[in-house]
Amino acid sequence: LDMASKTQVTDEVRKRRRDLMEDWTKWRKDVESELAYERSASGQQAPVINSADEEAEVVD
Amino acid sequence: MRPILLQGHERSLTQIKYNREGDLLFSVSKDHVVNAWYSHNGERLGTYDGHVGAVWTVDVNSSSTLLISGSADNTAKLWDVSNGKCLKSWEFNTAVRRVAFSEDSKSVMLITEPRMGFSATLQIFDVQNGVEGPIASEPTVIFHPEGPKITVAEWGPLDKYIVAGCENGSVALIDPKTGEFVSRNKVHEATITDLQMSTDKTYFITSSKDKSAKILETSTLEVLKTYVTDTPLNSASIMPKIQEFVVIGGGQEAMDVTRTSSRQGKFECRFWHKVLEEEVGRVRGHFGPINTIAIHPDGRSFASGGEDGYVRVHHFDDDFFSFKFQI
Repeated sequence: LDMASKTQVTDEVRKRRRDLMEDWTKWRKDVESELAYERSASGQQAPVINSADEEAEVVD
Repeated sequence: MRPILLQGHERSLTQIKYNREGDLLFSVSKDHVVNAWYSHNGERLGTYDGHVGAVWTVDVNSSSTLLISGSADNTAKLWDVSNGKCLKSWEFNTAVRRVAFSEDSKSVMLITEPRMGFSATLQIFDVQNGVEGPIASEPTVIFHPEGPKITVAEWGPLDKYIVAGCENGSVALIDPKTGEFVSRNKVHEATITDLQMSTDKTYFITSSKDKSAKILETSTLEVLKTYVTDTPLNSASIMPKIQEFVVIGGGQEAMDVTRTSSRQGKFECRFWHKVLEEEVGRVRGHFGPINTIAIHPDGRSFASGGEDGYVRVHHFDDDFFSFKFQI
């Protein structure tokens, strides 16, 4: 998985990427809070995804 | 990233699925067989025998006690995961194309094909008795969805909607209580071949024969991201954690490959950055089109099932986890 790392990117591309990531993060926050509200209103718990959650290393 | 090759099928793979914990991987194939594997080492846990036609689809419930499979033999079968016993066999007029457990695992949804004068059906069965009690023979609801043929379907968040992908490239939200189409959006130019949800089901990914995959918001069916390739796609999956990637795969049909001089049909799993819509890398290995892809719930490995009859399980190397996009 080295196609992206071999490519030199311009400041313009970096800015575009930053903007896309910010837009996505903002959208995710909105959607997640909406879903949390719906879950609490319905009384339905979010499903546990997997038992390895706490062990998983998160890399930004 | 040395793959583990799972050799337990004699014909092409149709769908593979991890259980919630990711310790088990289930595979179904045109060879009539349903297999269960330990995902960490590829050892076969067992086989669920009973179908007499190609098995198109499989799903496992959240507690990994029940497995459901749908087949071209016009049946869907419910299995006890632990001992391989068939708990129920439902018979229909036509093949079962898609099965899926609801989020609460109390119901299963089945899609049957339209064929020979029979219309397509969407049926929901109550399975909350699980392995303990009797399973209903009749569906709680049965619908006859009109319009383009449904090829793939999944439950939405809170089991509020069923999200369907169709032969004409459209996606639709269906109310599971009434069977009514709540909304529809034509997002692809050709058949939708796979539809997989994000972890919280607020968005999903579709793959299509139109050579693209797309991410859509579930509630609005709005296209958020598009990944354009040069080959028809059969499957797409969203990495649940560690990296913001999607994995897509497909390839030219065998008959088309012989007519082209290009790279043998391009049988690669392609990694794209989910948000930036930029391709990150490819993983080769299959000798035919990739029919199905699943990513482990912890994001540390993935599996692909091919037309070549093999399942390949890939555990990522350390550099995969440390990889960062230049932002």
